Amino acid sequence: MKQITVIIGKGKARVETTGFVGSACKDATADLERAMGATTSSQTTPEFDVKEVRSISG
Amino acid sequence: MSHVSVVDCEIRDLTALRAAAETLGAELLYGKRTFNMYGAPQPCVHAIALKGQPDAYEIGLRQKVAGDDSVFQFACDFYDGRLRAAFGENLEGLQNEYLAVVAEQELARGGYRVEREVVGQEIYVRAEL
Repeated sequence: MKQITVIIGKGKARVETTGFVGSACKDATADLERAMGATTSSQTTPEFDVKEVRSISG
Repeated sequence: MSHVSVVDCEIRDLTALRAAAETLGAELLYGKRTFNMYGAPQPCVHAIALKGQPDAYEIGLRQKVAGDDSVFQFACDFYDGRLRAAFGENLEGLQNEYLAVVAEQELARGGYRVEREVVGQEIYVRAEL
C-alpha cells in the first residue's frame, strides 16, 4: 500500500513515503512539496534503489 | 520508507490561507492595502485580522518578490500579544495549519484517502492509495 505521511510543526513539513518502488515516491510528492513551499532537504532510503521487476511469461 | 523531504512553508495559495485563518478565528481580507500595528498602519497587499477584535494588530501579506503574486510573506508586530496568542510564536500555528490544508488538498487531488491527526504540537496528515 502506498502511503504518504506529512508531519507538520514549527512552520515546516516533513514528507515521508512508504510502499513506492524506485523513484515513484519522488514523483508522487513533487507537486505536494512544491505546493507547500521550498524543499530544503531530501534523502532517499534503500527502498528507493529497488527496481520494479516484471515477470513476462510466454 | 522510500524518501524523506523537509519543506519550509511558503504562502502560495490564498484560498488555503483563508481556510487556515478561519480555523484559527481570523479572516483573510483580500485587497486590504494596510495592516494595523503599533503606530501607523503599514502597507501590504492583503491582511489577516482577528474576528471580533477590530482594535487588534493585524498580519500583513506582502509579495516576496515585488510585483509577483506567486509567493507571499507575513509582516506583523507582536507587541500587543494577541497575534501570538492566536497564531503562536512567529506565527507558526498559522503556518502549520496552512501546510496542513495544502497537504490535505493536494493529496486528495491525487486520489489519496486523507486523514489528519494532532499529536502534541504536530499535525500529521496521512494519505493512502
